[in-house]
Amino acid sequence: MIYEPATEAVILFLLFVGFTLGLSFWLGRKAKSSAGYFAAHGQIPWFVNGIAFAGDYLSAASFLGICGMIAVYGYDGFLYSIGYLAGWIVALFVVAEPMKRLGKFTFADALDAKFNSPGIKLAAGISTLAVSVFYLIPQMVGAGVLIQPLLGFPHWVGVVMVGAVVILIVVTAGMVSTTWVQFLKGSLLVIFSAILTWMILERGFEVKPGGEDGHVFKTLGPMEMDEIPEVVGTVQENITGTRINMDSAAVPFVRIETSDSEPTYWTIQNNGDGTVMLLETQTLRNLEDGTTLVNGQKKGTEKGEPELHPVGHLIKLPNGEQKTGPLGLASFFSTLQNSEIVLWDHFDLKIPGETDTRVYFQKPTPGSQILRPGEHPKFAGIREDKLAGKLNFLSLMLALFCGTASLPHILIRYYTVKDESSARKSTIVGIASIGFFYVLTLYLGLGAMTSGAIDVTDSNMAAPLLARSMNMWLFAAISAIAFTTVLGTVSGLILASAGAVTHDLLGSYFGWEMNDYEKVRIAKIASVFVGAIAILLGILFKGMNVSYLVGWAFSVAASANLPALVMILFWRGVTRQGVISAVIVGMVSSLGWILLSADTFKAVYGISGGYTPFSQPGIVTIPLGFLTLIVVSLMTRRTGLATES
Amino acid sequence: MVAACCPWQTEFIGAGRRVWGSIAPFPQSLAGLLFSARFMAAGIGEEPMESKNARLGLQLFGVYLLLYGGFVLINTFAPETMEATPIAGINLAILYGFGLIVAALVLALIYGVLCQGETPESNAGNAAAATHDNGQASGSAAPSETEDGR
Repeated sequence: MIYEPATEAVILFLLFVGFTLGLSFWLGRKAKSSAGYFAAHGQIPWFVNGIAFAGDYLSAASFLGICGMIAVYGYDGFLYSIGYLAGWIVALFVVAEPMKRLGKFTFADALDAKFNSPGIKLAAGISTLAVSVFYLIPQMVGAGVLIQPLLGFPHWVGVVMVGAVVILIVVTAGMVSTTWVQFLKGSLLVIFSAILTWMILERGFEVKPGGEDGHVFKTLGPMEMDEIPEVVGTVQENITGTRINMDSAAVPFVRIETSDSEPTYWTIQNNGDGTVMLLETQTLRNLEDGTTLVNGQKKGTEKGEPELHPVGHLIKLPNGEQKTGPLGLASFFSTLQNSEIVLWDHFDLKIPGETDTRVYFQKPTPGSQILRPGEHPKFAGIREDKLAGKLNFLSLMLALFCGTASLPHILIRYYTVKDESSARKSTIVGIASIGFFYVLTLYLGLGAMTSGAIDVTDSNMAAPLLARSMNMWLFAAISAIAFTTVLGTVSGLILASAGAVTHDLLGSYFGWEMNDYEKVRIAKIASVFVGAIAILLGILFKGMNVSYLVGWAFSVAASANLPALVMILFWRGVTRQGVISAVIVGMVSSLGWILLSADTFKAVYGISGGYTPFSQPGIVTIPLGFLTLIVVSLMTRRTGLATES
Repeated sequence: MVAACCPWQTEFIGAGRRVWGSIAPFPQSLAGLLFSARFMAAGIGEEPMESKNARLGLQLFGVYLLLYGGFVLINTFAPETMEATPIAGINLAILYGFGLIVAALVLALIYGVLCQGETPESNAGNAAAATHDNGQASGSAAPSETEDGR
C-alpha cells in the first residue's frame, strides 16, 4: 500500500516522542551509580512499577502482533493473549518473591545467590543475552511497521530510527527513566486502546462491497464450470481464460489474458450445486527491472495511483441486515458469530518465463468459523489427526505459560521496588492492567478485520490502520504510544543485556575489576553493540508476524531459564553443575530447534525444508532443561560425596 | 546465531573445568525428589520466611494450572467443543478465554489480600535478608541511596 504522511499525525508523533526522550534524559541525569543505572536504587513505588510492568510487557508484539493476527485469521491471535497473561500467574505465584529475595541486578545474580560460581554467571549471562536479542527482533520489526504508515518511510528506516533513539536513551539514562517512561506509556496504551474499542462498538458493523478506498471487489457468476472461458469472454473483449492446474495450492483459479495488459487472476468458488463463482483477486509482482506491478499496473507512489486495495469487509449480517448501529460488549460477538466476512489469503504463482506473482485472494468465511480456534495455518494442526500439529500447539501454549517468568527484562523489574510486598503488589497491578488490555485485543483485532483498512501484505499493520480508519489524530496518538512502547521495551531489553555483559560476563566471569563509574560506562558500550545487532536482525526478519516471533523468544527463555530458576527455589539438591548444564542445554536445544524448523527455513533462509517435526520447541526443550538439571545434579552430587570421602 | 554459539561453548568448557567436580552443597536423593509429594513445600519450609505466602502461592498456582490446562487440552483434542454457544450467542472459546483472564486477576487479588496479614513482620525479615544479599554480591549499598526520590 502507499503510505502518505499526514502533517498533524507527524507533529503529534514527534511531540510525543520528543517529550518521552526529554523526560528520559531529565531523569537519567540523576542516576549515576550502577545501583541507580540497573535497578533504580530499588526505590520505585509499587503502583508505578506495576503499570511499568504493563509498559514493558505490552510491547509491539501484544499491540501490533496480536491485533494483526486476530484481524487476519480471527480467534487464534487471542490464544497469544491468553498465554501471555497466564505466564504472569507463574511469575506472581511461583517466582516473584523468592526472586526478589535472592537477587540484586540480574537474573544471573538470582541463580547464583546460592553458589557464587563464575560458571553459573557465564551461562546465565549468555542466556540473558540470547533471550534478549531474540526478544528484540519482534520489537524492531514492529518499529519498522509503525513508521511506515505514519511517516511514509520504508521498513528499514523505521528499524534504524528506533535503534538509534534507543541507544541514545540507554546511554544517557538508565532504569529510573526507563521505568517512568514505561509507566507513562503503559497507562496511555491501555487508555487509548479502551477508547478505540469504544469507537469500534459505536461504529458497529456494516455490509460493504470492499475496503475503505471504495473499490468494489467483483464477483462473476454463478456459472457452469465449463462455461468459464466464454463467460469471461463476454466481460471484456480479447480475452482468453486459462485454467491453471493448481493442485499444490488447492485453490483453483483462472488466469485471464488480454492482448493489451497484464493477466488477471480469479479464484473459482464452488457453490455446491454444480455452479461456480469467480472472485476477483489482487496481485503483486516484481519485474526483473525492479518495477513492481500491482493488479497488473505499475505501482504508484502517490495517493490515487495504482496500489493494492485495502481490505476487510462484511458481506452478510444476521437477519439480512445492512447495518447494525452501536453494539454492546456481548452483542459484538454474537452478531459477528452469525455474519460472513471476507478474509484474505495468498499463494505464489510460478509460471515459466515470468517472475513470481503473489496472488491475494478472497476467502468468504462465516463468523462462527472466525471465532473458533484453529484457523491460522500454524494452528490448523489442532483440527487434524496428526499428532505433530497438536504437539506444536501444546508446545506454544506451554512456552507462553512458562516464558513470562523467565524473561530477563521482566525479571529485572522485581529489583526496582523495595521489598517482596511491593513486588507482589506491583505484579497484581501489572496483571490487572495487562489482563484488561488483552480483553481489548479481541475487540481491536476483530474491529480491524471489519474496518476495510487492512493491508494484505502485512498483518502487523492492522491496529494502526484501524485507528487511521477512525480518526487521523487517534491514529497519530496510538502510533506514537506504540512507537514509544517499542522504544521502552527495547531499552529495557538492551539494559538487561548490558547488565548481563557487564556483571555476569566481564565482572564475574572474566574477573574485571571495575569501579561504579566504569561499570556504567562498560554497560553503555555494551548497549551500543547489542543495539546494532538488534537493528540488523529487525531488518532481516521483516514481514513475519511479530507475535509469532515473540512466541519463539518465550520458548528460548522458558527452556533456558525456567528450569534452573524453579529448581533453585524449590529443590535443595541442585548443584552448580546442574544449573550450568540446564541453562546451556535449554538454550542450545531451543535455539537449535528454532533455527532448524520449517518456519525459519521458509521465512528467514527463503528455502523449503526443516529438520524438526514441528516448529515450537517448548514441549521438548523445557522438560529437557528440567531433566538435565536433575540428572546432572544427582550425578555431580555423587562425585562430590566420593571426593569428600 | 549458530556461529555465535561456538565461542560460548568453548568458553563454557573452560569454565566447566574450573567448576566441575567440586562438592555439591545440598545433597538429596532422586527418590527424595520423585517420591516425596511434599518436596516443594518442604523446600520452602526450610526458608526462614514467607513459607505461608509461598504455600498459598503454589495452591493458587495449582488452581490456575487446572483452568489453563483444561483450556489448552480442550483446544488441542476437542477443538469443536469450543464452537458451542452456551451463553448470549457467544461461543465457548471466547467465554473460556475471557474467563481465564478474569480468573488470573481474581486469584491475584485473593493472593494479595491473604498475604497482607504477614506483611509487616516478613518485610522486616526481607529487608534484612536483602541487605545481606546485596552486601555479598557487590560493594554498593543500594537501598540506602535516596538521591532520585521524588
